[in-house]
Amino acid sequence: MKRVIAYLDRFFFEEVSATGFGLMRAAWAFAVLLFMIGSAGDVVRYYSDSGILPQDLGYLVFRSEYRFTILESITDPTAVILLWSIMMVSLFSMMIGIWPRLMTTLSVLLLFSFHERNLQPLGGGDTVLRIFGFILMISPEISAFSLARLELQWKNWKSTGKYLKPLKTNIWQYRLVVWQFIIIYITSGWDKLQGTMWMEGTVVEAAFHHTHFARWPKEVMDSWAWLSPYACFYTLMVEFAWLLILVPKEVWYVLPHWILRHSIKRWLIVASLIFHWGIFVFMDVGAFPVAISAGFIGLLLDDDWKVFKRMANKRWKGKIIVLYDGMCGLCQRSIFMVQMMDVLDRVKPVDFRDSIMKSKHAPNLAEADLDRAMHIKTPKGVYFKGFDAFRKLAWHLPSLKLITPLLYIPGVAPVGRMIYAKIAESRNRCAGGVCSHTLK
Amino acid sequence: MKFLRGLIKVAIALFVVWHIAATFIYSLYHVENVPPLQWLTTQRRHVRPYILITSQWQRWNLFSPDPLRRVIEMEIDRKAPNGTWVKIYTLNKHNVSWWQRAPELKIMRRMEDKKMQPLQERYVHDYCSTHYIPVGTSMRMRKRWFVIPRHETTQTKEWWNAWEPEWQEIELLQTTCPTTS
Repeated sequence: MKRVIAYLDRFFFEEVSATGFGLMRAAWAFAVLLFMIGSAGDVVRYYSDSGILPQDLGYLVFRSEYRFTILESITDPTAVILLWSIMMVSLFSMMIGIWPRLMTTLSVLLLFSFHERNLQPLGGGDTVLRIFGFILMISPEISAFSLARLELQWKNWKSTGKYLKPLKTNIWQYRLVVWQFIIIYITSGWDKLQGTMWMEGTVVEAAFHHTHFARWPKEVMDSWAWLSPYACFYTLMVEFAWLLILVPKEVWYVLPHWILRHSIKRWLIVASLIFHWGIFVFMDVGAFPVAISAGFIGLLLDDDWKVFKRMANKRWKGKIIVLYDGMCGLCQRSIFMVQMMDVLDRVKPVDFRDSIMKSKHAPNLAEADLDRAMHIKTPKGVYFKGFDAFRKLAWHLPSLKLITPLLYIPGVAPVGRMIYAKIAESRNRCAGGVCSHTLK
Repeated sequence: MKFLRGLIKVAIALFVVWHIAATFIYSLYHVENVPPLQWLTTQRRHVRPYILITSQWQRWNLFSPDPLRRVIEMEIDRKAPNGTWVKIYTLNKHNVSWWQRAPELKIMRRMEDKKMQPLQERYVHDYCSTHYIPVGTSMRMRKRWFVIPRHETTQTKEWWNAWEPEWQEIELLQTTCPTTS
């Protein structure tokens, strides 16, 4: 009996990383924000009584029971726009993590309200968003990757010099997400088997010629019709493969080593991402690929993050030494932010005011030079300073990677160096004394 | 305290099991030939209130059992002073911006049935007010459609190149622009 209870306790309450759910919160809010902003011009048309679906015609669309929406009592166009604006603010706050719990609850309930007010424009992607929104709303820990968490980290780092322990949560919220994916894919696959066209392999060519969904002109879609049987087979294969996630891992030892290097879950996620974003390339299916991708993030646990880190660092050896001024508040805040973004663990901050550390890592650099600008030393022993150091460093901080190429556009570097010099100069005015940048 | 913590854990575990069961039962369709699943669908009434209140309703029949092959568009005509109908708007993918396309075309597909005529009329009235068409102007809405052919095997690029849709159309309604809409 004790073993059964212990097993059940592990099944529902095993501690796992809360990183995935934190990122899922941000991604979910981003997806909803994106598509709600897309309908900004239609808020009054879709959701108010002066739009295309006034309450008195609701009998044609609304269900008669268990339907709740705040928009049943808020019908005036101005009030609807105000509510929509509140939702935009709460989604943005949820995305960046200001009061993540409160903002998530508010955003999800408002999304439910807007969806229940008018079912007409809703597609599969909206359903996915509603479902994962509910799981986020009831999940105990969703504050990873939030400004709220960042503030706590900063306070702790400032007072103890250490970071807080990584956030943990119970596994049951993860299990709900897994189950939801199984429902989506298996029932979808099952429904496809009830017809004949999926087995004949002709669905995709027909769908490619449906002008509501086809993303490219007919001539382009014509030339891709040959893809149909392969895409049909791939779709059915991916959808039913989600059943494999229910098979205990111990059974998988029979598989070849190259498959075993990654969990079945990761293979399923990759195969499904190819499937959904493949559809996105050819067809316009609304919010679906974005919404489902946000859900996949919730499936990532400690092992997955470790594997991603290992893969990203496969060809990387050593550390980038970042020489910073431990006496200056602005520098401390900057190095704190760098460390927060250093999820690949490639950076080692070194306070050049510490003479032992300085002689170990930058013996040939004068303190006056180090004082003038941030210096970094790559594992190959090459030094960069100021804006160039930041640009080099940005390649190794995943959250900055997307904007890093922009820093190489001709003309950006001189401007960047100028701005950097201004900031460094104002910092130097404070050096050794009390100033606005000094750590409080 | 330990007892209370245990109680909370039991409550959470029961909720998780309930949610899993409810979403599963509510998502089952086409299971007439699988008796245990068929029995489960008869129990849907027990989970329905929970699923609907929490907005967790879902039906994953995208492009299935067979994909939608009927392509529709709606045309809005205005009566000219000489009594002839003049087409002023076609609701199709070309006339809707890319970010509004999915919801707007979905609305069109969902209001095409005859029983949705009040919604079609409302759509025309909304068009009148947002496009400043004078009150009392006679308007009509037509539906045009064609069906994508169905084959047992994939057709060649040349075949699709040569294929032309066969459009058909019907008039859905006639109305006049109201004073307020």
